[in-house]
Amino acid sequence: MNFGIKKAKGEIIVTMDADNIIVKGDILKKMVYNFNDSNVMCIAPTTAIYNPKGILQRVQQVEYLLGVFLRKAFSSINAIHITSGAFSVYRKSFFEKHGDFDEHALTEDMEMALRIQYYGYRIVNDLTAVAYTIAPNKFIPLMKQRRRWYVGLMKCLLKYRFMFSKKYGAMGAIVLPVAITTVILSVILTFYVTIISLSEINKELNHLQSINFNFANNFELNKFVFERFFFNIFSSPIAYFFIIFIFVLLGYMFFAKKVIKEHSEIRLSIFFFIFLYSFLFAFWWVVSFLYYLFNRKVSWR
Amino acid sequence: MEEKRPLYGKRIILAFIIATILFALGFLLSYIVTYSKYQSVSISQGTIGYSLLDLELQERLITSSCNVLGLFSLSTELDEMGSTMGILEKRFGKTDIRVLSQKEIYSMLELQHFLLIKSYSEKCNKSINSILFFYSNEENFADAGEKIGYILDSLKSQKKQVMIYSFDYNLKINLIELLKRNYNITEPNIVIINEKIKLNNINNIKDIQKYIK
Repeated sequence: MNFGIKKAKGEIIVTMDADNIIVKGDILKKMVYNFNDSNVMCIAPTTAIYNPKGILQRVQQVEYLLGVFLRKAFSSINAIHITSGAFSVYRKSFFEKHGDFDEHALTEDMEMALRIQYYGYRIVNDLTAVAYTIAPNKFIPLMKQRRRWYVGLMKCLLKYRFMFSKKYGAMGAIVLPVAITTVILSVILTFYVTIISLSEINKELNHLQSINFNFANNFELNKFVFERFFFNIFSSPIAYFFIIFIFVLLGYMFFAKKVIKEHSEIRLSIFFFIFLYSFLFAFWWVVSFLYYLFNRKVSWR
Repeated sequence: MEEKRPLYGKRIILAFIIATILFALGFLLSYIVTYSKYQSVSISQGTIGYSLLDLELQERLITSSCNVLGLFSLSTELDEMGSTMGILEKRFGKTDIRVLSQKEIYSMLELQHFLLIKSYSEKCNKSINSILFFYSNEENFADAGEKIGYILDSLKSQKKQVMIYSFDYNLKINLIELLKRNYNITEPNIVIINEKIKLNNINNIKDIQKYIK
């Protein structure tokens, strides 16, 4: 990429990964209007999964659609700290003044985003520009991709740790600390809920064993059993947090679908996302953290 | 570029307020559901109290027919109330004054029913199985108590004629203290069957079933 930047004669540099697909030809024309603001150094597109099939691609479809809203929200407070490798648009002058992509960084796009923020420029998100990416559809390639992203993110954040400060606006004071806290809490919560659930299942099996449970003889459903079941669930705030989460998620999805004008059915993808994403997310982060901690070599593929 | 970067305070505060409202909404809705159940339990306790008085009067009037209407169905109502109160205890906390006062009334109603059954079976020469269970919600005893509760629920669903009365071992009321003294209960998770057999360390339904007539 650096070789290309040096050879480029124009004022604008566009990056693309091998697995990106641009469906609409006028995307770049739309994006460059954002450079009217001389402080804007990078325009991040809206990214989405191309033609998702299978469980893992469907989970990633919802994850990327969530990212549409988040990126717009971050853009509104100038806190975009990760640019996509897919169709991000840069001013060439930035590279000339502040250097090319860091060839030692695992996630050079993240490093570049933080560098742009460090020098006080802006990264904006263009909702109308949609770049599609072909997502990994197998567990191992997906894990390797995430391992590279997350280890790369940890290294970048360590390099720019001094940016966790009010001096760097909402990004340094709020977004970056909240992002790290969210990752840590998500991983802890996923493990905690899994352990609690397994212990409850174990307890229930133990109870069933204690009454020599037999479905045909003992399973009695009456009005009270139903009432008690629903009361037990709906008297807990967790049930309402879950319902609120679903509504917020659906709101994000509605927003994202409208933005990228996607008409495909995503109900199945949302279902997979709700039940699988937190486990995958926790697993990717634990693996990445161990790789980072023991300084293991992280390969691209 | 050393110009001061904005914190976008208004937007951040707005986002914080929205998130807080959503969280508060979750807590509020769960509280409304729990509180309305608490109120319905309070109303049911009043109704059961009247029903027990009615049964007591019926029992006193028994001469020859021994047909006391509603004696057994009230036991099921009491069991269901006990189960609901277990959830209320989990939600409000076991030291909550509302829960404690309801448990006191519930224990009295149970005892009243127990004495009524006892008197009825003596008068009418009926053999009715009764089980007194002294549970505890203390950390060391809660799991074992929950398991015995589960076994007793199952027993009740198999044999509706078994009368089960659960009492909180740690509830500080005179009636329970008296019961504990009468049956020599010195630790939680003890089951008394038909006022004669005292069992601890119950692990399987069979441990109880063999004593049920």
